[in-house]
Amino acid sequence: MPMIFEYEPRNTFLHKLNPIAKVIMLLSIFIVLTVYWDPRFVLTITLISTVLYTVSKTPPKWLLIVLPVTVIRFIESLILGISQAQGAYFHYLPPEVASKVIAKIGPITIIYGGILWTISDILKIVSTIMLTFSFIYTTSLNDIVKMLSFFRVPRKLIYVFVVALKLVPDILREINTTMIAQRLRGWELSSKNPIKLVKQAIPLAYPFLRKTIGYVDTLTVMAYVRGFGASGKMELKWKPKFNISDYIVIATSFIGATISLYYALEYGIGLI
Amino acid sequence: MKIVEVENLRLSYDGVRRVLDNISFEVSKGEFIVILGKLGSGKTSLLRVLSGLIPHVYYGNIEGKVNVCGKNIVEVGAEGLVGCVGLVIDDPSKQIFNLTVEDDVAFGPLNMGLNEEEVLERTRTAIKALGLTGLEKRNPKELSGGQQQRVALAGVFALRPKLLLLDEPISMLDPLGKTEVLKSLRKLNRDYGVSCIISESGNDLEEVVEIASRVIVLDKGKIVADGEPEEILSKNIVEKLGFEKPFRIKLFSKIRRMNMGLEDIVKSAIINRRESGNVTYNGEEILNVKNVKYAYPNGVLALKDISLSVYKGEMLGIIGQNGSGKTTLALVMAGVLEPQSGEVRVYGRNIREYSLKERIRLVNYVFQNPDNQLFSETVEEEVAFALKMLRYPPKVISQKVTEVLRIFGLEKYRKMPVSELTKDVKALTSLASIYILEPKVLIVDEPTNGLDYSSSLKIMSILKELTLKDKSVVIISHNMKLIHRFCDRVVVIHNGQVLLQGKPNEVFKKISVLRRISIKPPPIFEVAYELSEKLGIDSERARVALELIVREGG
Repeated sequence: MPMIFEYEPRNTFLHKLNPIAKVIMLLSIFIVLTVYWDPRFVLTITLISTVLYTVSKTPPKWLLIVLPVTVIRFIESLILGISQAQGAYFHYLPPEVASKVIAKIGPITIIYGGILWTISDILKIVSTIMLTFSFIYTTSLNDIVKMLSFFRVPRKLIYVFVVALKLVPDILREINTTMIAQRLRGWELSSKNPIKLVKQAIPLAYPFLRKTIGYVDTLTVMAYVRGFGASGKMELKWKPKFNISDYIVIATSFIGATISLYYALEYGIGLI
Repeated sequence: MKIVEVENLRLSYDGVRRVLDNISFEVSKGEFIVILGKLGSGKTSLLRVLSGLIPHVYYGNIEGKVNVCGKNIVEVGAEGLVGCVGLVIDDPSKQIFNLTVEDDVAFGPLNMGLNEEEVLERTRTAIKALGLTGLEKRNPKELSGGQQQRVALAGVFALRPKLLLLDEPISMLDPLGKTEVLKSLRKLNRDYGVSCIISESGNDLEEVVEIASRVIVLDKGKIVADGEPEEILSKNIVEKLGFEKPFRIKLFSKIRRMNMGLEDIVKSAIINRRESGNVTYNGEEILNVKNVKYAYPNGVLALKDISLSVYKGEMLGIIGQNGSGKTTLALVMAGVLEPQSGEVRVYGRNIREYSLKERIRLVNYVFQNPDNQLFSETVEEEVAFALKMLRYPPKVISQKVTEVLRIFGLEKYRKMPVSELTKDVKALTSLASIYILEPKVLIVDEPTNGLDYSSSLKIMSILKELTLKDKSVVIISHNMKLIHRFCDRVVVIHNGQVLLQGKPNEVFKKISVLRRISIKPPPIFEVAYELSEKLGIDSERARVALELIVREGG
């Protein structure tokens, strides 16, 4: 059973794509996502992300696990959105639409433009999470190493990435074991006082930190003896292999991103 | 050709205490060397020096000459030794980076920047050499411990090393895993000419020594013996250092002294001695597991209709291959996991009906790795933690801590920081920190894992003493010798079911059943079985005779 942030070998369309094609596709979507703010366009990208997430068979549970963090980001977006009370911030919306007051809560005035911004920001967060998870779930560590080497990413950076990807699922397993071990000694997180809660979490945090440090140390050594660091001066001798679906994905992504950017920058389509 | 040349090697981490002292030896092509030493004797440090990790990745002050593959390790470091030296550690999961076998084997060659054809060729060769054909697309995490360790070995072998350094590579494996890995190592050594240096702290000496061509004994950082296995292991120094001589070596040295054939000696021992009778166990039943089924959320059925009992004051051993369901059974027994059907009753009541605070004082479980639970500053605080959680008065806590520290021989470590403890003391502290709750049934998962032979004996003796205080102790272990020596009863778990249960002698004599599920009983049972086949006598009578010969000289 894969943990969160762990690749699982499967036979889906996304699994079979060359990692370079996958990265080009994701980068294209991320670029469009950064530029577009009209909720209708952003929603389209969210739908595409949902399709990719579903097609790749990435476990829906992953989304639930990150839900608390996502909710915090939603609240942050909401605060930022409703604090934008000036219709003039939204250049591409007709001023009367942008400044239209939806509600007034004490000193806070919520305008239409701010709400649109909030919806878009939330959809962007959801899309980014789904695309990132789909990529991690469908791309093996070797493919990531190959792809990062192809893009000439320094080997030390690749190493940090590799260790992080291996570390997260393993550490989650360790937390679970430590939690059971401490519960069997009568430990529980019971206080509602945040300071006491932090103090109570020490029996969990300390073994976890110590194991993480030990784990990273062992991983460093094992990666070292498996050739990491040995090839600093070596050049990449392998050539990436693409099949027809890779070419289609690369071409579609490139064309799609170019057209989207052109219309956004030239005609302001998709902007608010 | 010399693969390794070490001359007057001295190593210290703090500039004062020597971890390795005046070490000199050479390794020729194709040698298979066992470095035998207790915990802290310097074995791992020596392997780290030979792999170039010290002084480049780990700090260490080295004096003397260390050449590996003709290169000075101080000058080239681990980077310069890739393709010459491969290192494999005890825990396979920490060495595997990828999520398919073939990806992981290819990881090293890929890092070396080799072209794709060569990466593929090396991957295929290593997979074939390590007997992993057919498992290429499997996720290593779904494989058995032995298979995982062979994946780790294949990953290192794909780098085409001349020397393999193996830091207790079978210590964490089940009996089948140990056999698989040793068989693979023998193949790499004999068929591919790879020299091997394997460190061993005593618990697997019997198995490891069978494939070794040489044994080097380390004590306090010094070489105290170096030579052929039989010559070294028959010396008294091995026992003086706290190791048990392998059974076959002990047996043959006795026979040599008696100047008779083994078969004649066994026959005369059978005639002259009466067999020891079986003791029937009549304790009060404390815990009862009845028709328990447990499936994990991913659908894997770990326990299929298991039933067993734990009696007052007994030491029960649970054995079985990795993945057979032992740990799941233990967690169900401790009430951590709730079975989908069946139940665990303690004193006649379902364990899940007790509150957590009641439950942990009835049945408790000690995890394999003490690092999962130790967090306090001192041993005393660590042991007191559970009682503090249960809000005992400070005076009672202090009294109980003193008593428990005495039982576990930890008085002298009372004020010592937990982070500075050695592995064996950590294991004892972890046991003591649970035992202070005085559970009626204490389940201990692999209590001797990663420990040397004498520390293992110490821990098992302390646990055995607890049974004299009417506590029941359940041991999950792969160490058949210790199970045989200390347990009153043994349960064999296979595929989530109880395959055999009974007294150790009754269970271990069923060699053919155990072999079918790849469990290797203690060597005395194997030799007895071979003799019984040959002489046409009962294997139990042959075993008793062999025990007498080894103990008394016939």
